Amino acid sequence: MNSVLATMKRNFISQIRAYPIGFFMGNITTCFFIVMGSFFVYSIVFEKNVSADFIAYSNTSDYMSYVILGSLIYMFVVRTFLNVSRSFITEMREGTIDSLLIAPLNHIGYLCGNMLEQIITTTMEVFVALIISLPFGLKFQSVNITSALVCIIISLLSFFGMSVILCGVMVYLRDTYISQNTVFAIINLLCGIAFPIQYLPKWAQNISNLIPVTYSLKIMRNSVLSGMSIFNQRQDFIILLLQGVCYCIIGILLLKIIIKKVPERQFI
Amino acid sequence: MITVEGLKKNYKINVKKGIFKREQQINEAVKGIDMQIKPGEIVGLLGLNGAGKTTTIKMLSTLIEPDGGKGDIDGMDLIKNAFEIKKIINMIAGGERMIYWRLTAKENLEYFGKLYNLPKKLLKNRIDELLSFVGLTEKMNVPVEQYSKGMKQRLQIARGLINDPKYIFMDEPTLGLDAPIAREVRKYTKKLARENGKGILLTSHYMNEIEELCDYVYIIDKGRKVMEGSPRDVISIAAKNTNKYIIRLESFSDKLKNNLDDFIKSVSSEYKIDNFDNAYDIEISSNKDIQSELITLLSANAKVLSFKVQEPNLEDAIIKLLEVS
Repeated sequence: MNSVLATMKRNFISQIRAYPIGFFMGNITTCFFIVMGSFFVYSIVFEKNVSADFIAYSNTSDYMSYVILGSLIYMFVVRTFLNVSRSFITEMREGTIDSLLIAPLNHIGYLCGNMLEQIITTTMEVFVALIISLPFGLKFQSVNITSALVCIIISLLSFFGMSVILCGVMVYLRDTYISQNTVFAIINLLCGIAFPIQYLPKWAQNISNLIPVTYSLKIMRNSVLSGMSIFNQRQDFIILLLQGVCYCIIGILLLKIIIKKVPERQFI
Repeated sequence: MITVEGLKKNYKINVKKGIFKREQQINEAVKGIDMQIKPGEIVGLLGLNGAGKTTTIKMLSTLIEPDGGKGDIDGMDLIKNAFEIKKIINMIAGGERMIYWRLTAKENLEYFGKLYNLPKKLLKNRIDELLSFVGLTEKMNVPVEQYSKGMKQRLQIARGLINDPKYIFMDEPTLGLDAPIAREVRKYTKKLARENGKGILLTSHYMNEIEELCDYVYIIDKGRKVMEGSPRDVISIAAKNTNKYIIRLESFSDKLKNNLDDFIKSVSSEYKIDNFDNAYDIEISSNKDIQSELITLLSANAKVLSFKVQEPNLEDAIIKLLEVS
């Protein structure tokens, strides 16, 4: 627990000293532009009409709430990936990896510390983004809070697993930019951030269904926009949980290899 | 005690051969090194760049797993008991790395102390002691990015001592430091071994540092050990035939230059000359004892202001050894 809290505190201090406002504003702005872009397309191009297909696929006719919720979840995904996936490669670049790995460190605890700091920061960002999004038409028509909270917890588990896997890829390739942006682009395109995945070709939908973000979005929208309970969404919850556990197991196994490889990658 | 036998490490490197083709090459960084470090002893690890010093240190400090050989620290196996070993070792490297620049000195030490699970009260006391030891108490709340190079290096020393390690690996600890700060670091190092009983493995490119501090040295080249012993033993064995003459002349005529060139060539030696402060300083290195011939030659052609025969040092010994290997 020491390494979790110590790493979280270290990150908070570093963030505040390095980017007092910039990073926070950057994330809010990204969310704002996605929402604003969707608003203009929805209002001007489609004159606030959605097709019957959209309603059937998404269980709602409220496109703006649909897309705003998608953007807010996407913010969580991006920040988790930025914090957790880049943690070891950032330590390598800053020259602190040896002092970290020479300590009897709980590596999972260290990554959880990075994640915890991100969750707290992103929650604040999401809260601000929610307020910004209200004038664009975000409506909480029928919210099932329990279902939404459980969805967030399971989603964070799966995002963590995915991030650790990406962390391994980044250390192997010694790259952050291409790796993370490729993943962001895939998630943005395939997971249903701005439109239901049923609009995608079948093969792309098969890929979407392997990414936990797809189920996170589906459950969150059903919980917040349609008020669906955990029981009514039990199949999606089980899939999300299984995906989360699988990604975490793969991530933790990969972490053992990463820890061995990180100091060597500095020489090669 | 740290004991390693036949320690080996290979790196696999992918070399690009065209746009899509890659070929895997094996770089044998360390090819079987034996070594011992006792508590309270400072051991030097010497060699040229790429000799395998840093890889050896990283294997001993459990950062890298060896590919062959065996090693233990106080009876704990380097691979099987890596987690336990980490509690009794630490590393101090040269340069300005291994600390967080956005944190203050106190925050850095707090963070690392927590990674070692030190109890709160013990950690607080140790931070106070260490900051006082490295002279950073007054600046403990200033972010490291505002520190000078010497201050960062001193903080690194404090970080390397946060867990009160029994063994410390020091990789070029005085690299790039001004002379007074380097002297301070040497003083700390000596104190740590002599007064606090720490076992220290030291690498450095500054041979005077090694001569001053080390009880025992290992010299490695291309991943292999080429010699070991006390610095005096290494010098007497490896550089026993190295003679160095330092001469100061009032003048240096063309005639003397020609005669000296011929003589130096005839005894297969070498010399260099500097014109400094209205005098000429000549340094001659030779494998033969040419003292009497040299005095005769020089005094016949110029006024000799001084003539010194310099004892070979560790640097001469290393150069000699590495030339042979």
